[in-house]
Amino acid sequence: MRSFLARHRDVSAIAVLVVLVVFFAIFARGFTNPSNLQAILTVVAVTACMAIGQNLVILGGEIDVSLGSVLALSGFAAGFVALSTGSFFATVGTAIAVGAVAGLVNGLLIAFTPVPSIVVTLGTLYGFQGVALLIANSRNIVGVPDSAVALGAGSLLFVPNSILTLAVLFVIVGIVRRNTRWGRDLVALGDNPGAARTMGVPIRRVLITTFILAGALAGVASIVYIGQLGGMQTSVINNNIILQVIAAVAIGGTSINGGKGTDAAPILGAVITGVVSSGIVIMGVPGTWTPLVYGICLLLAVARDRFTRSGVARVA
Amino acid sequence: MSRESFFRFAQSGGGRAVGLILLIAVELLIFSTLSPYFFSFSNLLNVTRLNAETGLIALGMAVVIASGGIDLSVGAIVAVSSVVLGFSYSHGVPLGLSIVFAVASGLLCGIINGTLVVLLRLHPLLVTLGTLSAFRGIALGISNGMGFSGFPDSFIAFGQSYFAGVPGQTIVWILVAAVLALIIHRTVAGRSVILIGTNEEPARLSGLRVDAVRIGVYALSGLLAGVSSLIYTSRVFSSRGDAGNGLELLAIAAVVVGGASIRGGQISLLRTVLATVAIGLISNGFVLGGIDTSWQYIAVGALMIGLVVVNELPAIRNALARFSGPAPHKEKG
Repeated sequence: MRSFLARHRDVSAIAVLVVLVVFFAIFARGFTNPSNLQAILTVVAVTACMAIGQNLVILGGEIDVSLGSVLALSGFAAGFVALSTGSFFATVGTAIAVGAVAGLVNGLLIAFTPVPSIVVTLGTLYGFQGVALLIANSRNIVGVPDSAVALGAGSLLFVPNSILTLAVLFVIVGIVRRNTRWGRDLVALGDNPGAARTMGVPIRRVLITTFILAGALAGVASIVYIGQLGGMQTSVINNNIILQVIAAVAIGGTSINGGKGTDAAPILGAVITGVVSSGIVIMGVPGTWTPLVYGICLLLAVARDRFTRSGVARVA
Repeated sequence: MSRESFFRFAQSGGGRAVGLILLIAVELLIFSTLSPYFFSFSNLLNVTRLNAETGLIALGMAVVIASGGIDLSVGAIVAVSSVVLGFSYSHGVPLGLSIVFAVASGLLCGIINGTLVVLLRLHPLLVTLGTLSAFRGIALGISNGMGFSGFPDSFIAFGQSYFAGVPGQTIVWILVAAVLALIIHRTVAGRSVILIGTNEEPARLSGLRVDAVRIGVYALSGLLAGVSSLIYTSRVFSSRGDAGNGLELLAIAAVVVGGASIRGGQISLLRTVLATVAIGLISNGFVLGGIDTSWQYIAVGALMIGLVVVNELPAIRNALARFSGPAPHKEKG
């Protein structure tokens, strides 16, 4: 049973999700309304987009705590481009480019210095935060035209665009991760860096690619964010959305130790947290308690990770 | 001094402390040209006053990191303690007892962290990320998202008092640093923190009570967060569920700028204090110098990465020597 769960990490996350949905369907009146289920997915779309990138980084045995600042940086850069040009491609291009460059900075520092990724990205968290504040110049962005940020605004055949964007990202990243050498190298690196080096995995290239991807995905997430809210508030810059992103990856079943996880983990984890926060609010628990439930979810998730770990001893 | 011996000195603990003092001196020099108000004794004392809260937490964080762990929940513990203080007092508990409750709740939060880390053998990054959220939820839930500010005037003593012109919290900060330094370097429990952080297995095999020490470091971190919260709550004279937001990252930055490896096994409480001051001077100097505050984040980030890179210099020199070779080895986690 243990090894089954260790090999099929998605199963336990899906089981948790099903149990939660059934629980709230019974005890929270109105939870299963299609509009509520759709709202849950929409609310978690930004976190989930970022979590897809974080999942890659964590699979590779690293961590990126700067992604929240990257979201703010890309968002403000793209927001101003959207306001001045109104062009879809210019806006999305800016967001992805800014995110990718931020990821490149992280990747280069991590690949070419012996500084652990948590320290590097903690430093760039502050650095990017400062640049985002400079760009924002204490102005909120309001009134962005929906057409420029269509990835997060509007809907197609009754499905909100932010959910479609998330689905497309999930499929593309999943296919690329499974079918390219980079994807396999990434997991090998996270699982056992020593062995990966011996086997000739181009560690630096793999790391840099991964951090660029995580940054670019945070860039896309910023477009979804603007699309949903119609603008950017400077309060986003100090937001600790990054903690929710890491939590989503862990709750979804990817091991923080790297090398063990699934492509669906970020989505499953984000949806689980969305289901819980929506469910308890419907049950009448004041929203201020949500972080408590959220934290308990995360602790249970990592505890599950501990008890489903396969018997093979890990090289530290 | 030859190049080699210079490098050796720069890498030693004393060398790094001198480096931080030089950094502070450079900051003083730069900022005093930017603002006439900066280089006054009262302003410098004010910097220590405003940074004592972060400084106390950074001391606890230094011990946790030295043991090979990390504590992301400290900012949320500040909120829990602050809310417990306000909630107790506003529900008729005497002020003195409310304060005891507040500090004790910080300690309790720390013990919960340590117990989870030890019992479940979970990664401390995730455990304390989970408790960060849980504690924050408790603080916001109890306070119902509102602040409490009806404290009596006597409560001012903890965050706004001065002794011979020196802010009370500055004295507390220095005393705690000194006592902790004694404990870490002169007691078995303290020295075993370093040993456990360096290599847990030999520490366990040689009979050290690894689990007790581990719970102890998180308890200490929680206790100091509770004390820090008391100072904060008194200084702003209100109890808030959103207190201490983001403090954990600032504290980790201070420990890392102080030259300790994030992988554990190293500690210098003096350098942690100096690093907290160096970081605190940046925001103070930028504000007084009229520089856009955005730049202070960039400066802190650059300072942090720059100093860590310098700290890891020998490894970097090795890496450069085999530039085309494989990436430097990294510990996991």
